[in-house]
Amino acid sequence: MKTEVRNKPSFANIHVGLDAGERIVAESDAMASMSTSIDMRTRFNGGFFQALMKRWFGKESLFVNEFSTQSSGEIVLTQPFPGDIESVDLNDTTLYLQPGAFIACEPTLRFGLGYAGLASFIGREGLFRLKMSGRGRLWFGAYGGIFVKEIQDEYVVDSGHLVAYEPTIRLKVGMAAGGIFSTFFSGEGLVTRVRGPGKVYLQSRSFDGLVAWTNANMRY
Amino acid sequence: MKRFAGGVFSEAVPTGRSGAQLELTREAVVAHVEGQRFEIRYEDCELERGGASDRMIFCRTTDRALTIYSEDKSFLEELRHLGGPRLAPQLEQMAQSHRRHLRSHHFMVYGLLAAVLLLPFLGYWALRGAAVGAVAALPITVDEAIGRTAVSSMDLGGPVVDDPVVKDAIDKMVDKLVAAEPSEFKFNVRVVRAPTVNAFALPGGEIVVYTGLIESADTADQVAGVVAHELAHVTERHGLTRIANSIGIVAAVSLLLGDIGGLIGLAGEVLTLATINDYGQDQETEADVLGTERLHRANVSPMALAAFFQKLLDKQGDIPDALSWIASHPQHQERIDTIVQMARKLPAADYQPIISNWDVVRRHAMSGDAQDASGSKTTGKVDQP
Repeated sequence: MKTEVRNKPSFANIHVGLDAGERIVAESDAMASMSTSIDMRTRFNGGFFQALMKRWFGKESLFVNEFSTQSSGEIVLTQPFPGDIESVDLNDTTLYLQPGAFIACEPTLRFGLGYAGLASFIGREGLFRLKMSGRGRLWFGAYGGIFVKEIQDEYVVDSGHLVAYEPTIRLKVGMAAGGIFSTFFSGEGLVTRVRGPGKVYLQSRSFDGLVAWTNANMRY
Repeated sequence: MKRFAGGVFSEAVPTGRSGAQLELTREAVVAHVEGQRFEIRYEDCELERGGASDRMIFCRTTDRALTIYSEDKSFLEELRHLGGPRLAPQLEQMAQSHRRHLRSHHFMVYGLLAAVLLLPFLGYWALRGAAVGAVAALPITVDEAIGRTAVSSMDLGGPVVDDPVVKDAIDKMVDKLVAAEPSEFKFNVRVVRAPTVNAFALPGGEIVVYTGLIESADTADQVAGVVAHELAHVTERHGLTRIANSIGIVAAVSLLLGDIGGLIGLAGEVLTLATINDYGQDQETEADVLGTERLHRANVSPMALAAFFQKLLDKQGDIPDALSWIASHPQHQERIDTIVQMARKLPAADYQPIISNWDVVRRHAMSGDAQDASGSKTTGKVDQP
């Protein structure tokens, strides 16, 4: 399987070249175009109930699509909003994805939905997270650019900027700066303190920021 | 030797990290990654708890060049066992901070839970308080408008008596009671022919006295007692408070349910007379107390009110105790006790009957039916006390 992420970083999309017998799993509605030689099979995202849980709590689709071919062909996969796409090779390791970030993966990877904890919820990172594990490649998307940060000790991330993190990363809720005043008036509010060691993947824009900006400039 | 699932952070592995098989020797934490061997001696090991689950144990070298970690539950126990005194202080510190963390976590969870549970109640009381506060700020023209609307649209239960003997006597009685303790309200009394042994007050000063009350009262003072009680409902604006309370409750419920249409619909229902005239026990007690004071100031014996309640008690008996908390009026016996107790504390006074020719008034009130039917009007002179 040959894959390439093109049009990085603003309008990134994944070009996947499949040979006979190769398969790729993608979020439903991720397919932008494909060869006629590609077969598409739709299945629940895990079991029926698991899929429902992922739909409700992981903001993922109820269904995922599995693409395969008897000969060869190509598919273009994308995400609904402008932004970068990152690929990560899991090597019997685990990566937690924020709700809605998943785009595609090799069929050897396992999906799970995990409780992310109160800290994640209060930090507005969601009460649940998608747990990807196994051996294979994973693609996930972000709004804006994606940057990776290798954390040794502690690092501060504003809510809504976290996209993915390794299981060695611990999330804590904190105030951006000391004091209630700056918490409410700095525009940063509560932030997430991530504690390493491990990697975090961050997006350079946040939907909360976009929503706030849109609301502020809305003409009714 | 026991093996644990875990991982390694090191520049020596391709992406700087890898899953690993761990083992604990007598001297060190050891990790195996595809033929590579990593080791941190216990005396060089800095321990830390963390990870997304907060159940990972990290063992790191002082220069952070190598980190070995595991989420295995028995890893920590084995570490405690084999690390011995070299790790004991760190393990103890870690356990302490973990306990602290758990405590604050529980505190947060229970705090959130309590907040979620308390919110409806707090909202309810806040709205209720605001409603009652708002009443005090409203001008009394609001009371008057509500009272006027209510009295003109309600079924009083019988014809208004225009026999001047009865009317003048009751007017005189009210004038005396009002003069004893002037207020900004203008009172307007109607006598209505009906067997009901009652009188009621509407917001703004509309008062209705039933002939049933006049007939069953032995003395004018007893009727004066009931009227004094009703005057207190008006001056203390109990009706409006009641409406505000009810709307407050409805508003609170509607806010919780997000039902605005229901709020408007229910507000209309609340404004019906049944509710306006239905005061709570606290308001009844307050009216008894203020009524007693007013009677005293008007030089009328407050014991007359107690005597009237005694009469009602003899006639009807009390509500069974089990139901008394539901009833809007306090138990008769309780009211009698309150009034008698208050009356005893008042300074001695030479009380006078409020109307001297009560028998005449009573007769006129009783004979009203026949007279109304024949259309003849009896004019009588009422002696002023």
